[in-house]
Amino acid sequence: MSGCNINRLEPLNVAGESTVINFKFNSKKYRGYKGDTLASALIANKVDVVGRSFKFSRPRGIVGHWSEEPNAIVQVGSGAGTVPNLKATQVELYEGLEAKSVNGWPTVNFDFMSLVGVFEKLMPPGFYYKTFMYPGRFWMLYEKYIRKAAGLGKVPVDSDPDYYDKENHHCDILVVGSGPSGMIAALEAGLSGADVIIADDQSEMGGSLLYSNHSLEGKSGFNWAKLLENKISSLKNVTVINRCTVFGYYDHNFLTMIERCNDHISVTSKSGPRQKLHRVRAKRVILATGAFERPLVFANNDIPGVMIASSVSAYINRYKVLPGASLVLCTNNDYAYKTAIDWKSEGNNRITIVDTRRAVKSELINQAKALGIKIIYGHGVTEAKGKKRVQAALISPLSANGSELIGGSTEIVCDVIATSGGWSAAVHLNSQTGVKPVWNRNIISFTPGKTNETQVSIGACNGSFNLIDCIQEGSEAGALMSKNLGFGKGKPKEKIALDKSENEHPTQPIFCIPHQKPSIKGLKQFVDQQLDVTAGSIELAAKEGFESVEHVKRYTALGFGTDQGKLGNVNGMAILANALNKSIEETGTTMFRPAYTPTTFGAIAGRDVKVLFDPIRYTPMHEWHKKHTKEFENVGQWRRPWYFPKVSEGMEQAVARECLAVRNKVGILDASTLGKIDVKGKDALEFLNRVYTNDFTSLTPGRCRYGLMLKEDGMIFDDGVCACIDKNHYLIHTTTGGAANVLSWLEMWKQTEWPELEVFLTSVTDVWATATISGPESRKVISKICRDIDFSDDNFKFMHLKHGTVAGIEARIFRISFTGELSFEINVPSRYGLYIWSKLIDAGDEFGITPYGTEAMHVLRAEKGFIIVGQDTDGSMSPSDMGLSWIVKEGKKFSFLGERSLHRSDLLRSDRKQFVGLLSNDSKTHVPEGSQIVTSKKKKFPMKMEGHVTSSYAHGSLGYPIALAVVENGHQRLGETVFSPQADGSFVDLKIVSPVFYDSKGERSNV
Amino acid sequence: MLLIYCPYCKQYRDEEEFSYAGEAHIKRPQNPLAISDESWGNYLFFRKNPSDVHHEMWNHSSGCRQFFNVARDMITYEIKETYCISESPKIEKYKK
Amino acid sequence: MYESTESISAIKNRKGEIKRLNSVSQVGINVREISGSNKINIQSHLSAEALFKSPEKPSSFDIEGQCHYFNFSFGQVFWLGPHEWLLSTNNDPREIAAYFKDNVSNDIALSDVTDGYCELSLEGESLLKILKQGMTCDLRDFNLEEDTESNQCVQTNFAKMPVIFWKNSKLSVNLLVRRSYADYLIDWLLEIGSEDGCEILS
Repeated sequence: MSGCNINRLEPLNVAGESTVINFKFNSKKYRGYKGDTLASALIANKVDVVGRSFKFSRPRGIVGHWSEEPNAIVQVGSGAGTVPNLKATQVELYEGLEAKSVNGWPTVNFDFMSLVGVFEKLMPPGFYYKTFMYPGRFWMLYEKYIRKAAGLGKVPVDSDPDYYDKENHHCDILVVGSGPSGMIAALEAGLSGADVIIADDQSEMGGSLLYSNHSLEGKSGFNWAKLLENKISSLKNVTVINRCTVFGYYDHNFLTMIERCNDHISVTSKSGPRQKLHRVRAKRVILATGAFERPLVFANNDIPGVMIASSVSAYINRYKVLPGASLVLCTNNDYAYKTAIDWKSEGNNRITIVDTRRAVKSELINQAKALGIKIIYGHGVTEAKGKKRVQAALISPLSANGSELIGGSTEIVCDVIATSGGWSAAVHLNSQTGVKPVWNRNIISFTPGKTNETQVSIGACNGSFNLIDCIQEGSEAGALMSKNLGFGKGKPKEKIALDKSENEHPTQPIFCIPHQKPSIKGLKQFVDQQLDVTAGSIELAAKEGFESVEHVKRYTALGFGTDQGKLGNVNGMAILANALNKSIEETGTTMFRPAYTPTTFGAIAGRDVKVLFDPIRYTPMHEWHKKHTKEFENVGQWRRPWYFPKVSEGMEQAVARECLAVRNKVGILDASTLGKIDVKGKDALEFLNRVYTNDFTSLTPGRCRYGLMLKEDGMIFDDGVCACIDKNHYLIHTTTGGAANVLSWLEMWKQTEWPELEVFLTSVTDVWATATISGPESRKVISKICRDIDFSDDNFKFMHLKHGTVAGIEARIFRISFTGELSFEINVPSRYGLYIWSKLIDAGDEFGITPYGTEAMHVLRAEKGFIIVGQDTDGSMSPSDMGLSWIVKEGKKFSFLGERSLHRSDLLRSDRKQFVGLLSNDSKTHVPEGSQIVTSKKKKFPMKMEGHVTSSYAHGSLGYPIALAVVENGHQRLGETVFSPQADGSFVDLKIVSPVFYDSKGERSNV
Repeated sequence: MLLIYCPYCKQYRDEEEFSYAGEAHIKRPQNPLAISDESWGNYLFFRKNPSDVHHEMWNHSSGCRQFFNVARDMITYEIKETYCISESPKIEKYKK
Repeated sequence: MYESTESISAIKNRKGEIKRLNSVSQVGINVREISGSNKINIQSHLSAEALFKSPEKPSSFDIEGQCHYFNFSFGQVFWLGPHEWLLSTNNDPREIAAYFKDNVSNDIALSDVTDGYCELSLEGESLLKILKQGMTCDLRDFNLEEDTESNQCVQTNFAKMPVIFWKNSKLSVNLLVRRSYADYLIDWLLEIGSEDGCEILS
């Protein structure tokens, strides 16, 4: 491989094989290996600059090796499957991968915006907020350019070509993280017989053992992990899910995790779901989420080549890549010495360790010394030198506590500066459960707060950074948690021969290396690289009075990026504490919320998209409807025909024709969707009298009555016809959309307030199919196919019901009307719905029977001034508001629901909005639903809104548009002219009239 | 996503199967027409808003359709107990 | 022209539909509609013991309890709530009504809800996979992968629709869903089951 993979130590092997992979980055061709991440392959190819920073457009390189990476943000793929803002450190390399930096124009190497960086000093935190405040009306203009300049990634514009699955799990123990502690915990739990799920965001189990050169039980950490992985995978009661990030920890041990099924193979999935959302309800949760190494903050610490120490080790050990030619390692702890040792073991001697501590003694330090590595104590790197790549490090001696420089600088030529400021336990998931992390001075890290017994944190995320401790904790937790659930005796089964813990020299509490120049005025010391937040900006925020860590976070944008502050937050809080002269405990930390890392919306939506977005309910007659119209409306979950246009008819003509047919001849409507509830029992009547405004005592079998239901606040809740089928047996109807709510409401009163009543409610909405025939000819139609009922007005009066045989099928026929015309609603068991419908159509053919849909149904009832609950009412209208006082029977033995409220002063106000009709003065203009009503055309703001239009129809049977509205004191204002302002500034002139536009005496339904 | 024990089904189910039904143990005034606007208003609109345990009603809407009571901590969302509708809370210290 | 008997099935137009992404010979899950039995909703404040004492020896399943079903002389009784049961029977609903009136009480609320339901049986190797997509119930209680008998019956949500659900036999379950949801449920099963193949048998 001439000219590429300069930094590769040896070919990368996966399961014994080495596969070369071709990929493109920023349109240039490169080669890597299977097993690489995009980042490791870029480092192998010595690509220094991978992006530009958000605000200052400074050139940036790869800093870390996994989800903590702040700089290497890339756009992968193109077209419909393109994904913005992935971290190159988490993108598994596959053949043909194409990735681009998300910012940097024209290229990352020569970025136009870097000129902005010249004005760095004029762009402190709050810059956008302070600078682009005035004039206010230019903000939208500024915003467009700021967004362009500062943007990350591009969202795909086409439909997602992939699908995403969901899986619901129940398990005894969920182990989050398959590093050494998690693996042992899962093994112990599995051996005890519990149902275990173990998830990790890496492609294989092992966690930190995959990246470091530990040795366990005589094997390399890597091999030890592999053997353990085999043991765990062989247990049938343990489910292992890799490439799976647990991103949310919710109430009662409910966790969500996303498994990336195909992202490591291609940009869009070739088979199977792209990602899978696992929703887990676990009896117990063991968090083994590890820890993140903190960088040390110093001047120009963002130059490509400055990296996290353990990431340098990761590239060497796991990816066989040496990130550079010569290393300066700056550390305040022992652990980072491993990086120098790893570097040295690859045969490269150009290493200098700069330890901020003095007089340190430990095994690891002795090891480094024995290898001949140069160590400088009591010093820190104060500044990195270089433009697009580190060229040298400046170091200076530090005071004992690291807060001051006590001497001048020395320059060390190098091209990699690896830093370690210690480790931060990954307490995110623990914190998501509502617990505040606790600062531990001994290990210089936040640790999990106290939780209940259903959750435990182990290993590094619990503040145990020593491998031996991790394994011990995992072992005990796995066995103990299982015992709590009744599995096993609580004693670990797997025996592991552990070496004695090595003694360590404590980590020094130092976060930011001071510089000769003061932070605020000097060179930039980056705390959060993705959002360009510097130590100086945090100190400035504190100076400006932002003292709460929550405020500083939002003011400086610390931790706002896609890396969610994994490297910067703790340093930021320490710097803030210092600036406020408080301890870190006193300053505190922000809490964590889901998601732990950015997650795809598609995975959350799963398969509930497009046709499966929400359940759809169909009536038994749907077969017929589908053949006769394409126009449907969704009413709640129901699919109802909207109108039935003939060839070359638009909606207006169709609806007008349907309405006229109903008024003059006969129409047929599928009314199966209305809610129907059987009410039975000795106290059925008493119950109905309590929940309706009506008195149903005189409702004998065979009679129907329109009923009104109120909530306790006196407002209309639902309406519908109540029919008495038999003694102690009533059938009540509800609105289509209100059915479930009404049943729930009735059950609530029955169960919680009146359990002594003997009344039983059964939903029968789906049991009955309802075909409504309406119009002057409807009697003739039904008489043709129902011979055992006398339909004459003398025998079958309005608001009655009869049982008979329709086309050979037993049916219930209600003579009720929602159109104002002579109407019969024929109810049959659903299995006969389609049959009866077709029989009615046949029988009605000679009379010109016309199918009509929901639109015509709405218009016809509006012409009669009949309200639709939920359209003309909105939960704030009382019966008298809507002109329905006549249905309210006060003085019933039991004070019905809502009765008392009718006497509240608010419901007795004279300026309440009341139900009226509106006619446009020019008989032509249609005023849109929702339009406001005002009394003057003078546009003096604010205009007093006297009411609004609740229903409005341009075409019906009358030949002119009509509208229904609620207007203040409307009942007293009939004949008055009012106006409705429209969005384009015009007004519609309207007259307030009675809401009954047609057949005001109500004679036509009585024929 | 709460995990709620339905005292009728005697099983734990996910929150999705239930609907929240407001504060528990509210009795409808015996004689509504005889009480003042203010009393009636209290019954209609005023509810407790504790920062410790709240006794509330839930309905197992996708299951047995029964209403029942839940004692739940309003900070941690821990459910202390669930009990049938006409019963009293068993845990003494949360009774008010 | 529609014959009255053709409409008994809620999903008759869907029979024979099959969807699979890969060309596999066995489908992962097949769906059958079960029609013919009547469904009676029974509500009463009387105890299960009082309502369902049967002249015949009852099955090994207990009458008392919840979230279960048991055998009754007229068919299977599913527990729906403390005062609500669903009887699945081949007998005529009027016969059932007469039986209760004559032998137990006149005050029992009985509703013939046969036409309100669509009963489906789902079975196949991919059954658990499909159920885990749509249900949040703990399926471990049903031991679906074993041959064991279970008289557990739950009312819960499946693919966002309310259903009544119980185990038939190994890798086979029955679902009762409201008739109006049946078509959508078939759509859902075909789509979600397409990866391993889903067929609507009868």
